[in-house]
Amino acid sequence: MKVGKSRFLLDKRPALKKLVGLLGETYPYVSILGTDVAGKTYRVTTTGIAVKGSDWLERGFVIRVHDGQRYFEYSFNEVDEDSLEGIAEYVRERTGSASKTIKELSLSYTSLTPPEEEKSEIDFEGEVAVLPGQTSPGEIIRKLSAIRDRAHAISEEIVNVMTLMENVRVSKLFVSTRKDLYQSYMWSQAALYVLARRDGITKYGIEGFSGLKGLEILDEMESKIDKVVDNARMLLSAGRIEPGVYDVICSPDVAGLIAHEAFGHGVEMDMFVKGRAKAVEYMDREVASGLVTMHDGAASAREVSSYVFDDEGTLAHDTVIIDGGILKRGISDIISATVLGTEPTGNGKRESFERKAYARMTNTYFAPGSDSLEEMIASIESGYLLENYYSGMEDPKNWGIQCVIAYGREIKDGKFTGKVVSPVMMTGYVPTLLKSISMVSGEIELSGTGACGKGHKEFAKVSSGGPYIKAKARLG
Amino acid sequence: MLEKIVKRLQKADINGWKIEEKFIEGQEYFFVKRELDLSRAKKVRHFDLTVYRDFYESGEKYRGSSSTRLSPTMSDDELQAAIDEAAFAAGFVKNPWYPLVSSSVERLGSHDRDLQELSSNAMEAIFKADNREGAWLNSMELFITRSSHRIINSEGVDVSYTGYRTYIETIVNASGKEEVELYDQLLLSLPEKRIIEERIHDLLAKAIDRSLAVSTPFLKAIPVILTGDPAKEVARYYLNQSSARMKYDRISQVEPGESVQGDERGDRINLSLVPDLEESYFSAPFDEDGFKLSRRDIVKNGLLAGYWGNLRYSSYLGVETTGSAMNFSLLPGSVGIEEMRSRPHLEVPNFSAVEVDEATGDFGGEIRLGWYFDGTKRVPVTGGSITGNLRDIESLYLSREVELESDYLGPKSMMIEGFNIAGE
Repeated sequence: MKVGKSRFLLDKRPALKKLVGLLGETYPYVSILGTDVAGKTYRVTTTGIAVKGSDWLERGFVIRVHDGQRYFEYSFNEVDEDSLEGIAEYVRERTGSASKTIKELSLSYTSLTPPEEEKSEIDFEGEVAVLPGQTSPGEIIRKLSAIRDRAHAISEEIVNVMTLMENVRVSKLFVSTRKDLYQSYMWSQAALYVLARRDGITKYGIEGFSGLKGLEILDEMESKIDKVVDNARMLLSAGRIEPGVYDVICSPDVAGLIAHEAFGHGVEMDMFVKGRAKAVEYMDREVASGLVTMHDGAASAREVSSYVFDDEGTLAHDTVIIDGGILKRGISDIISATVLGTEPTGNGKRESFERKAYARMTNTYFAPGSDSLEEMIASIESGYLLENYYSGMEDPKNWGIQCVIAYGREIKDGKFTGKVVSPVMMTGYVPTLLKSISMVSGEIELSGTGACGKGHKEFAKVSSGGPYIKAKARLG
Repeated sequence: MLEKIVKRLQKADINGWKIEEKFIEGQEYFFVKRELDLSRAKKVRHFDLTVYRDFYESGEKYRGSSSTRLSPTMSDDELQAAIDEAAFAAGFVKNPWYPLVSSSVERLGSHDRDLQELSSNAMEAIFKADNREGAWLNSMELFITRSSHRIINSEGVDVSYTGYRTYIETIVNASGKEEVELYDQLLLSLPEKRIIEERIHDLLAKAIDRSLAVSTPFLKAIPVILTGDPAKEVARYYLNQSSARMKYDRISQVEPGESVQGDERGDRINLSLVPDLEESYFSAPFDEDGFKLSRRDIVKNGLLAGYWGNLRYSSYLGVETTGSAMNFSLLPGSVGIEEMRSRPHLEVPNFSAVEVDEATGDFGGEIRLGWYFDGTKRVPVTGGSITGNLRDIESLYLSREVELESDYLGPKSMMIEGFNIAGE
């Protein structure tokens, strides 16, 4: 079913075009991004119920102008026909004040040329199987409550269960002198979190669900209840790992985390501009095992970061970052591409209309190989199968990586021993880790729950994933 | 807009409501070295609405709620639909009843500051401090905002205040064995030049150390000193164990009068909520419900004196409401930092990210910069990780020296025994 369009944005389109015209009298380049993101989050826990607007909710505009030498942006969310002249005047005044301050402090501007745009028009409306409005809040809460109750019924060691579902309809309008782009699409995410306790020790299991979906995502949760409860209880008797270097098999979500942290952040090309990415020195050089091919792009997969155009009006791409172990290219926003003399790749994303656009990941994943998981397990003399992750952190300048993994299942002589360690901290030097990849399974999975930050802010929706991969890693 | 929303709420089939209106003006500057890449301005207004509906089941009283964000550009029809939808959804939210904050009217003014001048002051201080040989500013992002808040509800609350926030993200480089970087974020209310300059100086010095760092060696049974942000995150773990919400959600197991710490040797925690922490980015006179905040002692000598939390969760636990203050402080400990450093140790001021799990007590992080002291020589180290569980540590000592770090005022360093170090 069609997700519907934003009446608000369509109604504002003539005024925004008029504003582009007004500002065009002063600036050679003017664009306006309008956003209208609507959605709801339902959370049912053992101790309470919450229904709230999605954290991704936003409605507003950002103007970007270029005066021939430099960019300036203005974010606002109050506009009508009568306020257009005032907004244009404010933009002119602010560009002047900023210039004055820079001059007074003896600082300077990066010299940038305005983007060259091709004329384009897009009108896109996505589809999902079940629209959120088709089911009442009471029915959604009832379904989430039933999942919670089933989890509790499995064991008295379960002290709290959280079931969460969020549906978000994203609508964006981009207008400039030569572009008139519109898109509406919907993504959903859900989570099942189970807290278990035994003798004062607390552990939890978690499973996420995501995609360009509507309410159909609720059906996926039910099949995972037993697994999440089992994991939470299994971790109650987990030990700590002896720090060291091990042969490991990473599950698709952990492989995705590695792709994301290692060569996702590492090839965001605004980092190239700042001299913050070691990847610049390694273009067309070997950075990973020949078994490794890695993609990113809003058009590379159908997940939560699949769109038709980015927040700067660039069309979605499928970028092959690593091809057979060779680093081929990065992902870029418009400003970085201008400085570097490259083509933008449709990765200019904003946390919301209130924030700057940066080069950001979309759907990032390792391509499949030809090994089976069984072969991979059988090949390990002493090591771990690493599953589920809590968090990760990048270090594009020095190629460090930090992955906090929920647990590892010990493998000895090609068989699981039944011993589990938790949590597991994987660290290391990115090329060493990627070059150690010796087996890659044939199926890939992507997921896009949660959010990705740039440094410690600018949260954006992304997905990541891959096949099972076998590698050598430092664990602690 | 606010009056229009209130009029509609008064006619709605609900038992209460709350609105927080925020008007945020900001200036933002994005530099690569000393060149401005982009400047931005922002003026946005938001209305965060919560509606409440009460109902009875089997003689028990329940309070459902639903919240949403209203945009100032909503048409009358959109506004009515948003209110109706929230009210309808609240009818299915079966939570135990709790009161709303009532009858509080207070308008707190603020000395009006010029955002352009504040931005200029911050930039001047940042670039003035970029004067160290062998290390330099790679890039910097500056955000200066003025936020005006007004919270009103159906029970007569009408409070307002204005605050200023300064956010500086800094990346510095240094060249030694290879070129390295360090990341930092400084959060303040106003851009105090002295604090900014000291921070940048310190960061540049640390970057030089990282450029000379060797791989973290394999170390066993050695104390770890956490300095700066990692110390704050450990302190936050104890704050979270004392939260009414965490207790009600069965994550915290601590009862009043019991220890928030484990059986470790060393200093006991003394923790307070401090809503009006000077120079803090997060200081505010009211919480999100409009509850007037004041300083509260939460943990004394390691023992929980009382949970902290908003009116809802305090009411659920039957404890006095403190409100949800955004700042907290820890009293200084018994050991000076130089004394901590006098015996063999690994000191870490910079992790890639500090992970402290509030549910399990697990601690971990990859070392971006540390210093290893073997008893005779102190050398900078990088790489490897530290892991452990705050419920299983052997000792915890807090430094006598304190510092403001974002929303935390407390010991600058903590010395911990019982962590694992994964080095080479």
